[in-house]
Amino acid sequence: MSTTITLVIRRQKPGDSGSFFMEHQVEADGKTVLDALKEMRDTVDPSLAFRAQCKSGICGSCALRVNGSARLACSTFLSAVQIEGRVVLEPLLNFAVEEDLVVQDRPFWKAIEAIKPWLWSDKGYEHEAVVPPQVKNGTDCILCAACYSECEVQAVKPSGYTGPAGFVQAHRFVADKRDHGGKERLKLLETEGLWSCAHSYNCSEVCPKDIDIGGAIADLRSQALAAGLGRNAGGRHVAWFTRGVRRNGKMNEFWTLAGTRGWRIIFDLPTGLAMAIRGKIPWPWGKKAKSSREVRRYFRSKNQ
Amino acid sequence: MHRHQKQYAYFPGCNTESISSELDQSMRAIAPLVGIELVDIPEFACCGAGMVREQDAYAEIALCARDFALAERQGLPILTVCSTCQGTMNHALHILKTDPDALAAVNLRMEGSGLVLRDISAVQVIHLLDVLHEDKDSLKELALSPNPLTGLRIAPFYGCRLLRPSSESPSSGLDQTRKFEEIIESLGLLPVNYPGRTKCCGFDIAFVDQKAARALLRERFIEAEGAKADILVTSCPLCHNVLDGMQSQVRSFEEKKFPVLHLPQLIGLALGVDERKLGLNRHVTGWKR
Repeated sequence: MSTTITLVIRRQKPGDSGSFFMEHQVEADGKTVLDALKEMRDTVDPSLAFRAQCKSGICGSCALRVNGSARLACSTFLSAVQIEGRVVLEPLLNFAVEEDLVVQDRPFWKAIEAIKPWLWSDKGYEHEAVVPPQVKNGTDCILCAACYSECEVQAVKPSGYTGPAGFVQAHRFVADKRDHGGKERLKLLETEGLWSCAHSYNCSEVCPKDIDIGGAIADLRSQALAAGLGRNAGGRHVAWFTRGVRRNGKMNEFWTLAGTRGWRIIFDLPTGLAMAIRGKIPWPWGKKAKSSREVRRYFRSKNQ
Repeated sequence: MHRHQKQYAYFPGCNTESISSELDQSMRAIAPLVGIELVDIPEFACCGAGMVREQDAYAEIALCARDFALAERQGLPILTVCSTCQGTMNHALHILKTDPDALAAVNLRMEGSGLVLRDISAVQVIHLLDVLHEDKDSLKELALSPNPLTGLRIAPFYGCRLLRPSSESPSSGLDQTRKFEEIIESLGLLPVNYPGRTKCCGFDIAFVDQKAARALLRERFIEAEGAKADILVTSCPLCHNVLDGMQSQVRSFEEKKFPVLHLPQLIGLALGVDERKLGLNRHVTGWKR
């Protein structure tokens, strides 16, 4: 027996600021979201606007939001995502809408351009260069902007933040032995929000190519610290946090906060006082795990 | 008292032992009532919280492996009340199971510590929410009716690390998950559905990019207000730090303020535990009924 589901599509006319929902029943069996959209355009409303090209999960054109999460229309089966017989289709977040499910994607490309995603090299390639596996992250990325849509920091930081796809591209070039960007590339990332990622893993979750974007960002931060680029709030946060763990086996909240904020901690005094009145005081001496001396051995020695 | 008590190696986490000690207090108050016997392991170290990883990735995994070995020695699953500890430890577990190079490097660092991780496949790291959800029918029998929360519209706040990355989290299901809501319903209470429930509280960048962190935090309250919520409940002490402690920074004097409960405090109130034993007096945004 065939399954019928209700497609609910958010529609918006070009130039309009408001949107409305259109509902339509479709047979779901064996159909992708893209199949259903094409069927609707061909049989119900030829003005329905959406982007699509390869139908194979390669070109990255057809990303949209399906039941509240970004996906590729061509690789998403209706039967797999329907909730109580309904599939809600909306344009990607963090973009202005051009028409219906089509967004104005220029900010996405600008954010990626900002990290200069090309090989920086003024020398020829005299030897064969073996590229490490991390490069695969960047080459697997199909630039569909699903991660850009779901990134919550992107939503509140429209400038000075390259976003998840930008970080993945940067990670690819930082790992590439043929690239001579080195510290300069990492410095550029600092100005493009490397320390503003809030670790909420929406990007990794929605990536249709299963790229570990959160892991790539963590690795970039690690490399920035190793290159001596930790003299900012993000770098200090990691350093002071780690110092407490290495020393006592536990994070020391007082020194992590004081070390991160520096003299700016005076701006936090009203909040600190309100918390202290309720007994929420991080003491400088902190807590210590029993037998914590052995924990120090777990950290890389300087010459490792 | 619950009919059956199950033992767990209790991993409160650094924040729960310090700024959010009322979470520890309330967990200890409700544990025997919901069938949990907490076994303290004083050697437990920090999980690394995804921060140590950025300085030294293998050190963070080694820290978690040490904690796994300590729990394994007692033959107990690890119970956390912190979503970040749960997420970090399950990430480490995932790496240890799938990356032989990482396993070898971690074993090398642990050498000589007297701790050996014998069987990775037996290690279990579980969040309180999952334990309660598994036994939600018992909550139905234990909850008082009415209780101090009856009639309130309760907004569950999952945050991020309890659910994401779903490939590493035992609480998978992500946006469709209703575990928190089902626990609230089992207590005879009313959960509200709102888009912010699985979003970011901004804690991780609260001292690094304050402008962005405050914007994220402010959005969470706007969404809760849009759903006509009366109170928020969270499964993570770090989310609680900002949702409760920094609420006044992002909400003007005239705007509604939301009491924010820890998950064990919600359970405790519904089961008739004295408010003082739950540490409700230690919240910046006061709880009044």
